[in-house]
Amino acid sequence: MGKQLDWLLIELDRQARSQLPPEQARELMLETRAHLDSAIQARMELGQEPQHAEEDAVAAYGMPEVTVTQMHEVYKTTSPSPNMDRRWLAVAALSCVAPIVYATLDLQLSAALVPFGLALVIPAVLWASWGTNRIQWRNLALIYFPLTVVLTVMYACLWMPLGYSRIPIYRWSSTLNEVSYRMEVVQAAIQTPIRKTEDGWYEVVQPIYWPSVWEDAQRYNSEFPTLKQANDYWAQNGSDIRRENHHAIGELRKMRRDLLSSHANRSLARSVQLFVQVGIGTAMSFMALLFGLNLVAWKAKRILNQVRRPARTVERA
Amino acid sequence: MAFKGDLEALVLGVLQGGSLHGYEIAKRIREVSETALSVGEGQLYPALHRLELEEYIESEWIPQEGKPSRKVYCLTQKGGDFLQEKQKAWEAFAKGVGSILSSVPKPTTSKRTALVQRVRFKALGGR
Repeated sequence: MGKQLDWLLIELDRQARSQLPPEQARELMLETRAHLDSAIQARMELGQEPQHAEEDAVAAYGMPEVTVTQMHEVYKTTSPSPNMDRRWLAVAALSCVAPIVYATLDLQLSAALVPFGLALVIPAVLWASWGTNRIQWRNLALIYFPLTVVLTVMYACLWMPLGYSRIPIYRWSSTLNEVSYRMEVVQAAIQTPIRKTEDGWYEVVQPIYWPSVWEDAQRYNSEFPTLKQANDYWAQNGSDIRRENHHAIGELRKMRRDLLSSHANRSLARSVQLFVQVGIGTAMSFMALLFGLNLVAWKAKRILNQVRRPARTVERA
Repeated sequence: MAFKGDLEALVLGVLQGGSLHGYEIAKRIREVSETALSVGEGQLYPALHRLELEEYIESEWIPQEGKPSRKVYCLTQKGGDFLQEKQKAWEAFAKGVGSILSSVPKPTTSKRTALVQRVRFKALGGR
């Protein structure tokens, strides 16, 4: 590589690094190398000496600062920097992850589904966003944000009457800080009979939803194949169970009382709380959905354009 | 100026014939215009990137054995439509200029008169 070419590439690299986003700087360097390679080759084929061919090619290319300045103008006026793109992609990926986590926490999806969901969502987001040069601000501003707000508000509003009602929505599992009380203890605390579900499992009849603890339910089922046996056991040992677990029972009763009173007295607050909680979760979900659709639509359009591409005149090496 | 974005139009015009890389685009413009138009080769790339951002063209990197990879550009549907608009605008512009130029009578002044006029013009501070 001669001095002229060396100078051009070093100068271009220096200017590009200082003014352009890293990805564009790298791309410009690669394109320039390929360009100069072709230019020198073409001149040499016409019979020029390598030294002269290089000088001519560098002269024809022009001043590197002019190229970089114009390139900077292109990315300044027409698009946010790729760093911005990456930030947006991170937001999109998080938005996709958020509903899964939200669903896991709220709808009691198994935690094992989280990696499964991520394995489905993240490659899809990465595929759709691969090669994205810019974020379509116009679409975001005019369609996605307003639509997200409208859909979120509509959906969150549907939850507000529930807040005014006395329908219990809190789960004890979150209140109890993940402490699993034995079914007998819960039964003693709320003093209601047990029953069998449609699936044949025992559950405590209660006004507040109690998540079944799988192992405990299994134990109960294996110990008491029939409901009569379970009730007999309770009749014989109920007082002992109460005595042995009086501390836990007291604690559970207090929690239940607090929950019920909060339901009764703070319905407006509960409404607002529900609106906000549901709103945030829903906004994230809708945003992720719309963003995902946008990316997929963009990608599909790109693929369609490639299909319609005219025949190549450049021979592949 | 009516055709500020001429370079973009020239690039789109040569890409009509098929996919080309940067150097070929510059070369093709020079050849097709019979060297009447010459593109500053370094300035071609900002124009190409702008056109790509506007989705008028698309690009693809093509690896080459033992040589730097080339980025090949091709026209999109949107670019084709835009080019047609440009062509129509150019035709209208050229027609307008042509009709004005053809209506202007040819100068009949002799070489001497023209020289005197130019000297007077310069003396009055004209350039």
